[in-house]
This record gives sequence, structure tokens and C-alpha cells, in this order.
Amino acid sequence: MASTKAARIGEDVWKTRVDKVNAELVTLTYGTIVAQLCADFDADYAEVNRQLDKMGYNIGVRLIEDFLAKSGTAACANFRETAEMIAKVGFKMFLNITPPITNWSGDNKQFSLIFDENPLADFVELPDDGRAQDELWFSNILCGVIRGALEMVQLQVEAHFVSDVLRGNDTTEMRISLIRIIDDEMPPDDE
Amino acid sequence: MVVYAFYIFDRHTECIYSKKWPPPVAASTAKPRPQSTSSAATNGESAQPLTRRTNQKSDDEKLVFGVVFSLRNMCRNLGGEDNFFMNFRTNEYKLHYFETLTRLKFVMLTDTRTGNLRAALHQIWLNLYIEYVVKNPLSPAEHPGGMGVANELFERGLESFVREVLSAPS
Amino acid sequence: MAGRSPAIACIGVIGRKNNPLHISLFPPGKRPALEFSFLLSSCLDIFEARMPYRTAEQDFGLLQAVDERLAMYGWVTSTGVKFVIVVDMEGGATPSTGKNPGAVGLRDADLKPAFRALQTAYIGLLRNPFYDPDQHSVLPNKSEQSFESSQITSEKFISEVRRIGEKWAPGVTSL
Repeated sequence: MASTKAARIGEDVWKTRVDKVNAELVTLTYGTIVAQLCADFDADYAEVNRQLDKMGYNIGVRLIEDFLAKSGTAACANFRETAEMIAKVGFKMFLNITPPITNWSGDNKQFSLIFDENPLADFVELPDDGRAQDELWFSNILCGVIRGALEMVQLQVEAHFVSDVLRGNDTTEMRISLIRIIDDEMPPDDE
Repeated sequence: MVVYAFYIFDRHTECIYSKKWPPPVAASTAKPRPQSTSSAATNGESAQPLTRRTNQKSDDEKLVFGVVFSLRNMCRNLGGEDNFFMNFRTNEYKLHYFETLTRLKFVMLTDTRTGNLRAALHQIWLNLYIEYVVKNPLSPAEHPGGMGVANELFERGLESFVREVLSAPS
Repeated sequence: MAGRSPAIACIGVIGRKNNPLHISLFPPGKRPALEFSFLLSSCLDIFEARMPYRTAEQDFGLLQAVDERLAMYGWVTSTGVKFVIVVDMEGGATPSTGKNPGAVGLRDADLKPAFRALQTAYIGLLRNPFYDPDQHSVLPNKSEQSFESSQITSEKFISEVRRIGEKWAPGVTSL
């Protein structure tokens, strides 16, 4: 029920309220950033992953406002609904993909997104230095985006990739875990 | 209708934007304040009243925040998570309130004859705040001390929105 | 050998500074690499000579006929990257069905699909952000080592070139 509703919102927003931009431009821009980071940090891929996550976070905390404004959605009742929103509205809106949600943990606090297609990684072949295949998460910026966006709606989450077709895995899977619901901040006690 | 003031508070309870419009002369029925009487002499305006006035400004912000914060929490406690208040009025003014899911709080003070401005505050968020503040890559994502909010585009947009849409004779 | 049909013997990709980027031989290992490397070098002068007269057309057509069996065809992108295909007129197996192309020479148009597919593969290569075209334009007067390392190493590109080389035959319209 909630699932089809989310899918409908996603389609609707994508069709009517999103300015489109050439996919190659996005792919190349993102790819160039990652390649440049790899060069700047001397192929320290752990650091590159960190930087990508950080950039994503900074995007996420802004993107969420645009997401809420365009989708016009109300607050989610639970984390399952949040997952639907991310996959069917968020990713649809910004990347025109709807990654399936799988592998819910028993306590409904962890799930996986499977990226059958990933516009960021089209045409990418990881550097053949024997390490990138094991250490670099090429699309790590997405983890940061989700972390940043959810933090702004009082959900502290942890997101990371567990597999990537670029590394030779069968699927590209991102794991998202809810850590806690952030309480509203109280004004400081002064005077 | 007449707009008196407008505030934005972020999720850290900080006032990241405030703007006051001078009340129309005729409608000015504000309580007499000590410093307003001494303002006749230009020379008499030393640094003291000025600092007191800025203090008063941030005091206003704290007061307004305290009111909407308590009221909002009260509504949520009484009516559940989705319950929110839209405005309240006194015999002097009306306070309009809109909050986003990211806990941005938009507050506008107007005269008492004004209708519900929730949609207008939503518009300000959508068309001014998001477009000119959130989407400005040079402005910080968080706005400690209001940094990055009061940029020219936003200010001008707000000014014309208030003047042409809200204050238009109806 | 009357029934043999033409097949691609070699595909060469040459950078805009006339640096070799990639050479594939068909069938692999059965042809002398050095000889084809020389052949590719020899056609650079032809490119050079014809360059002033080129039109918007990227297809250079027949560059030269080496002997009775080998003929070289060229294609230059607007950015100066050259693709060279060496066709062995008797390299393919006898077509089992259909009309026999016979001993009639190839038309230039026959190679167009192969060149187009090559160019598409090259564009795909350029779209990989980790592929740095500058890194592959090392002038060959440096040490032998850097000469070698300036070759394209992308698995995807190499296998695509291999596919094109093996699949092409006269009359194929798309690859």
C-alpha cells in the first residue's frame, strides 16, 4: 500500500517537477571528481571513500529540503516507510532509478538497497592497480547523501556499500542501518 | 494586512534570520519604552541605546522561539505527532507558524485581521529559502549565526513577496 | 584458395600524436606482431599526406594495398585519433551459405560499420573517468618502457576490439 503510493509520488515528481540534465554530463562530472580524488590522495582509497562520503553528506543536508518541497511528503511513520521513500521517491527523483529494498533485519532497523543500474558508474572501470578493486567504493557519495539527508529529518543512520559490480561482485548493494532517532534540540538555558 | 516581523529558526533552535518592518505610524500602539523617549535629540543617541536595542532584538527572537517551541510541543503532546498549530492571535498581533520536516521553523507576525498565512510561509520556504539559500552552493549547509541566509536574492525576494503579495490591499 | 573470404587481420588505434594506442591481431598469436607494427607506422605518412584534403568525412577509405592479400583502411576522428584496419583478403573461412563475395575487391563502405563500432568503443573508453588520454600520449622518443605503458589497458575496450575484429565480414551492416 505505502509502497505503491511512494512509487506513484516518485513517478509524478520525476515527470512534472524535476529539471533534467544530460546523463553523460553527470556521469562524467562525478567520475572526474572520483578520479581526481584518487590522484590527489595518491590512491589512498580509504581516504577517497571518506571524502566522497563527506561530500555526499554536504549534498544530502541540502538535497533533503528540495526533496521535501518537491515530493510534498509528510513525515514517515516508521523506518520501513522511510526506506520506501528513499528508494521510490528520492532515487527516482534525483537519478531516475528505483533500487529494490531487500534484506530487512528482524528489528526493522536495517535494510539493503540493490542498485541494478547506477548512473554514476556507467562506463567506469576501476584502476587496475590491484587495490582499487578491494578498497575503493566508487559510488560512496550516495552513502553520504543518504546519511546527510536523513539526519536532517531526525534519523541518524549509517550507510555503506557491501558490494559493487565494479569490483566484480554480482550486485551493487548498500546497507543502511538506523542508529537512533534524534531528539529535537532544546533551546539553551540562558539567563 | 500589515506584516510586522518574520523569523526563521533552524533545527538547532537558533534564529538564522529575522526581519522587522517598521509599523505604520497610525497603527503604532506599542507600549512606551524607556529609550524611545530619549531619541529626539540626535546627540543623545550614544552607543548605549544602540546596544540595548540589539539586545532587545535577540531577546525578541528568544521570546518568539520560546513561545512557538512550547506551543508546538504542547500541541504534539495533546494531539499527537502530526498535530501542529497554525497561528494564534492576541489583541495586538497574529503569529503565523510553519515548520518543515527538517525542523525549520518559519514565523511571521502580522496584524490581527490577516487570514491564515501558513501557505504563504510554505511559499517562502519553497521559492525563496530553498532556491536562494539551500541551493546556493556558496552558502554553508548549516547557518550558525544566520550565516548565508540573508543574501541579496533572498532578502530582495522576501521584501517583494511581503510588499506585493502579503501587503497588497485586499 | 578461391573460396576464401576477406577478414580483418589487424586493428590499430593510433593517438593524435601518432603514438600507438592499441594493436590487435587476428587470429591472435598467428600473425607477426612486428610486421604489422611496421605496416601501421608506414600508413602514418599516408594519413599525413591526405590530411590537407580531408573533408568532414572521417572515413579515409583505402590507404594502401600492401600485397595481393593485405589492404589497409583508415579512419580519422575530428580529434585526430586514427583507426586502421588491415584486411586479409583471404583470411576468412569459406562462406558456407549465401552468395560468394568472390574475388571482387572490397568497397570502402564495407568497413564503415567496423570503424563506427571502433569509434563507439573508443568513446566508451574515454567515458571511463579513470582513463586519462594524456597519459597515453607519451611521445615514443622516451624509453621503451613508457612506450609500452602508453598502450590502452582497458579490458572492456580490448575485448570490444576483439569482438569487432572477429565478427566483421564483408556485407555486415552493424556490429
